This record gives sequence, C-alpha cells and structure tokens, in this order.
Amino acid sequence: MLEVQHFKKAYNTGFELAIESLQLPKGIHLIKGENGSGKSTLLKAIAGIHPFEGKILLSGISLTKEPVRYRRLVNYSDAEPVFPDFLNLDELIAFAAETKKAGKSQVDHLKTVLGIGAFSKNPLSSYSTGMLKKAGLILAFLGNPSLIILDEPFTTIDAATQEHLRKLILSSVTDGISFLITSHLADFEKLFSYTSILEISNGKLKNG
Amino acid sequence: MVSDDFFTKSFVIPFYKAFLGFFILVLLISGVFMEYQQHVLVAERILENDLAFLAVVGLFLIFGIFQIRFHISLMNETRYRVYHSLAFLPVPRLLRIFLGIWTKTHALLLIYTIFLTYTGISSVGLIKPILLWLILIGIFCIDFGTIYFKIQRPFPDRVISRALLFPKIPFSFWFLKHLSSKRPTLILAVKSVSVLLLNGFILAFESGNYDLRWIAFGLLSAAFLHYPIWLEKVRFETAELGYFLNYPRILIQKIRHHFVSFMILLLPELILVGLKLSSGAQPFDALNLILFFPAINLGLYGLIVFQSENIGWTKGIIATFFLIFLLIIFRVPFWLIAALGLAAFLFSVKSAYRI
Repeated sequence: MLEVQHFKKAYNTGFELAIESLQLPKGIHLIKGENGSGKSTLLKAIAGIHPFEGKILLSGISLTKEPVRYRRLVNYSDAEPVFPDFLNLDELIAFAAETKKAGKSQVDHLKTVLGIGAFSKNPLSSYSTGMLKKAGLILAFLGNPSLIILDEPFTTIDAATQEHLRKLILSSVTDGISFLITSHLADFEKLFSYTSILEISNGKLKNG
Repeated sequence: MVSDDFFTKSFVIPFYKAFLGFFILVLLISGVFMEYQQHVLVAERILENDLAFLAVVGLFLIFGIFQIRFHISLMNETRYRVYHSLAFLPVPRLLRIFLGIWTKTHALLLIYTIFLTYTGISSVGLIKPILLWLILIGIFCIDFGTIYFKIQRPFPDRVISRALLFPKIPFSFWFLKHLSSKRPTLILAVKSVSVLLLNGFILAFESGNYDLRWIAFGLLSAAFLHYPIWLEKVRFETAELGYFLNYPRILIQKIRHHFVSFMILLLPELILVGLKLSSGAQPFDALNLILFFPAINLGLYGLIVFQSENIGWTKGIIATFFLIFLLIIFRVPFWLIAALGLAAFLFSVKSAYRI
C-alpha cells in the first residue's frame, strides 16, 4: 500500500530524518518515538504537506509525480491542530466536504460519533485544545481516503471520545481504510491489533 | 458549495487588516486632502504623459507583488494549511473563487482604472486605459497561476533560524520584533505620517508666527497618530504575552521594559524636535518638549489599557485629545501635562494583571 524509498528530510537546526526503505501493507500502523524524534515530520511528508527528498508512493501513485491525485487519497490530522480562528467549525467542515466530496450524511455521522454538538457554530477562536483536536479529527475522516494519518489522536480528547474514536478507526479499517498513527504514550499499544509497530529514534526508523 | 463569504473572511479581510495603515493613508490623501477636480487633473496628466503612465503601471505592479507575496506567506502559515485542499477543486470552480478574492483585494486598482477609463473617454483617449486593463488581466493571470501551482505542491516547512547579530532578544524588544515582523506596514505608515506632520509643524514654527505651543500641538497630534501602534502593543501584551502575566515582576522592571520600547519607537520624532529646536528655542523649552512627547504617548498607552477593559473609554480618548489641546492653548506648563500622562501610564502598569 504505502512505499517510502530513500527518504530524507534535513533542517538547518541540524536535525535529519532518513529512511532508506519502508513498505507498509493495508492495516493499522503505529509509529512510536519520543517528543521531537521526527514522527510528525515523517507524517507531514507522507501526507504531502511538506516537501522531502526521495520517493513516496501510495497504491503505486507517486506523491512527487502526481501530488494532487495522491493527496486525494490521504487525510491527515495534526497533533495540535490550528485553523483560522475567525471561522467556525461548520464553515471549515463545509469547505473540507466540498474539496473532499463528502456527503451530508457522512458529515452528520462523524459529528455525532465525535460528539461535536452545537459548538460547531462557534468561532474556532473560542475552542479548547480538545475541541480543536475533534475539529482536526472530523476533517481527517471526511471524503473517501485510502490512508488516514493521525498524529497523537488520543491526546487532549475526553475518555468517551477516545472510545468513540477507537471504534470509528476499527469500523473504517473494515471499510478498507488504512491508518498511520503516532504516539509517545506507553499504553497506546494495547488499543489496537497493529499490522506493524515502528519506532523513530535519532532520525532513524526501526521496527518496534 | 462554500459561500464567497468564507473566502472573503479567509483571504480578503486578512489582507486589508495587514495593510490597514496603507489603505488609511490612501483614503486620507485621496478622500480628504484631494478634491474631485484635482483627481481629474492628475488622471489627465497620467494619460497624457508617458512617464507618469509608466509610474502608475509600476505602482500597480508593486501593489500586485505585495498582494501575492502576502497571500503566499499566509498560505504557508500552519493555520492556513487546510486551504491546501483547494487543489482538489475543479479549475473553473477554483477560478471563480480566486476571481472573487482577486477583485476584492485589487479593488483599489480596479476603481482607479475605471476612473482613468472614464477620464480617457471624456478627454484624452482610450489607448492607455485599455493598456492598463490588459496589464491588470496579466497580473490576474500571473496571480492565479502562482496560487494554482502553489496548492499543487507541498508547502514549505516553517524554518526557524537564529539571528546571528542578536541571538537573544531582550524582553523590552519583543514588541518591536513583533511589529517589524508582523506589522511592518503599520509601523512604516504611522512613523512616516507622524514625522511628516511634525516636520510641517516645525517648518511653520520656523516662520516666526507661532510660539512653542504650536510645536506642542504638533507633538500632541503626532502622539495620537501612534494610537494604532499602542493599540497593537496592548493587544500583543494581553494575547501573546498572556503567559507572562503571573511572573513576579516588580513595577520598576515593568516601567523600564515599557520605557525602552517606547523610546526606541519615538526616537525619530525626538531627534527631529531636538535638532530643530536646539538653535531656535531655549534649551529648557526644548528639553521640556522632548519630555512632553514620550509622556503623552505613555499616557495614551495608559488610556488604551483602560479602554481595553472598559469599552466606553473610546470617547474618553477622543475627549483627552481635546482636553490636552485646551491645556496647551491656556498655557498650562508642558511638564504638568507630561506629569498627567505619566500618571495615567503608571496607573495602567501598576496592576498585577498587566505586563
């Protein structure tokens, strides 16, 4: 499903992340690592948000050669999502739904599952960290992605939403969607039956 | 389908907010200082003279560059990453969205081109207005192409680099750093108008028909021109420095930090007054006025702090301007007016809930 070759990402701060080769089949994949180890850097590159050196392919579609076609298949939720604070969540969802061709029934379903109630009408500037996280999560599930990347999805949201999210991920997997999830939490490994567990340390990737 | 309002809020309003100082200046010059007949004369001159026309084309291009650079840097911000998915929309829909944004952000150029076309029809001819319309269409095509190709590709990372000259920025300089990086147009517009205005007052004073109260009135006007900067300072300290509110800082530290920040920002006017008055006035009077200016600004800052906590104070600030004006007219000593300003400032910063 996902193929990464000769991946390299270097910053002028001296940090460098390098992956010679990585192949991930369909399923749920966990990437572990300490804070600042490069997990988010890798995810943002795979999501097509930031540039990198090397090759990334999803189901044979190259991110470098066909970026838009590739990105249609990949949704992403940030560890600490930020959005234009003058908008409300309904406006943001309407925009994402139009670009990702998500129907009203999908939007309504996700709003119910993630416990997004009437607060979606309020400006995002009034949101708590947990509510912003829910906003990021709902956008990540919109449309028809093949791969959903969730960076630290269970931090900052309440226990009930954590459980709803866990069930949503499992039901999405049965629909054929794969997941790439990161965490630095120790008890995270028990949540799912992972297809693979990887660990990033000092800018290198190893099997966990 | 997402409404036009969504894209206006996302791309048009932030543009006008960022360049507010410039647009206020344009409105002030074209709407207050110039009459319709003068606009017609300028337009005719532009259409008759090739050099003047080229200057207008140059200004249009500079405006276009500023506009597209602003939108590119806006889209590179993390909070605007959601707009990366504009790439998924069909080109006709994207074109319609962009046309809406573009016409609103380029309204100034469009309105002036319409005016030049109207002037051309009634007097000089239409060749140059048509040329200007073609240039505008060209700017639109380049802008659309730039944005179209930008959203296709990954966005650049936010690269954090350390300054070589000043690796550690002292606390007093944080607001100055914020202004120079986030609100450069605001600071440029305010400082240029303030210095020009003050210079005008000093030139009139040098004619010998006025006494020092005239300079004091000039300094008062220049101080109140700084209102948007002090408003931004209060907002910056409340919102972005909110984390430091509970730091155990003693009053003298707070005063020192504010004072450094104020003095650096007011330096151009202080140098101007110091140089011009060093020969034409008594040293004591010159010193008195040099102290008067920062004190009025500090007092204005104090009033804005009260205003931020009590919305009704907006009228209070306008009333204060006229009150100080009357105090100057009635020869109340400058040092006494300055002392009132300093009192307002001290009262505003002594609170434990202020930076």
